Amino acid sequence: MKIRIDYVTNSSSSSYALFGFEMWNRDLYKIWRALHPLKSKVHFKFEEISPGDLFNITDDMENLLPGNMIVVGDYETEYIMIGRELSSIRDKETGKEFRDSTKESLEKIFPEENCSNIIFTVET
Amino acid sequence: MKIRIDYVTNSSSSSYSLFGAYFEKDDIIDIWKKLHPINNKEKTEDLETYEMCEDLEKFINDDIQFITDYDGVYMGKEWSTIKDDETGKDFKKYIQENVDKILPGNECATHEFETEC
Repeated sequence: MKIRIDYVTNSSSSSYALFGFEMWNRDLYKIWRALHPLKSKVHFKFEEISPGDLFNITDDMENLLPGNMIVVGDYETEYIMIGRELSSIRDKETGKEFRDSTKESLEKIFPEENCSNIIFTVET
Repeated sequence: MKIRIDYVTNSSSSSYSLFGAYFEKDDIIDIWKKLHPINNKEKTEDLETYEMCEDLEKFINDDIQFITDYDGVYMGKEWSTIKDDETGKDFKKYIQENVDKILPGNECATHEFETEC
C-alpha cells in the first residue's frame, strides 16, 4: 500500500483524469480545416484566428465525438486534452473495454494519436 | 461531449482522481483507538496522521492508497489503476469493502483533487 504525504491545495482549480491524448492547438486546427474545407476558407493561417474562433472550432469538433468525451483546452500554453474521464467507466464495463472503446472513438477523428492516462489540473 | 476551457497549471503538484472515502483527522484517531483499545490515549498524542494510516494498512489490502492533507485522509484507489478484466462495479465494490473494514457505513465516491509536492 502506498501512502503519499502531501498537502491538498485550496486554490480554485479542477483536476481531471482522462484516458486520451493531448494535442497542440495548431494540430487540432489542421484537423478541423481538413474536415471543414468550406468553413476554413475564412481562416487560412492559424495566427489569424482569435481565441473566440478557436473556441468555436473546438465546439464544432464536439459534434464529431461521442457525448462521453471531454475536451479541456489551455489557450495560454496552447494544448488541448481530449478523452474520456476515467471515472466515467460504467458498472458493467471492464477496464479493457473502456480503453478499447475510447481508442476506437478517438481514432476515427485522430488516427495518429496514441491514448494513455492523462492526469492534470487546470486553474478555474 | 462537454468542453471545458480552462488553464493548465504549471505548479509542482500531483493530481488525483480517486474512488474512495475521505476521513477527517478526528475520524482517523477514533478508528485507530477502536483498533488499539489498550493504552491508546498516550500513543495517539505522539502519532502523526500518516503513522496511524501506516498502522491501519494491516487491516486492509495492500493496493489501497492513503493520501493525507492537513485535515484528513483520502483512502481508496485511483481510477487509473482499474485492471483490464475488472468492471467498474467490481472496482468500486472492492474499495468499498476495504473502507468498510475501517469505517463501516462510509459511502465511497469519486474524489478529484490536487496536492502540492
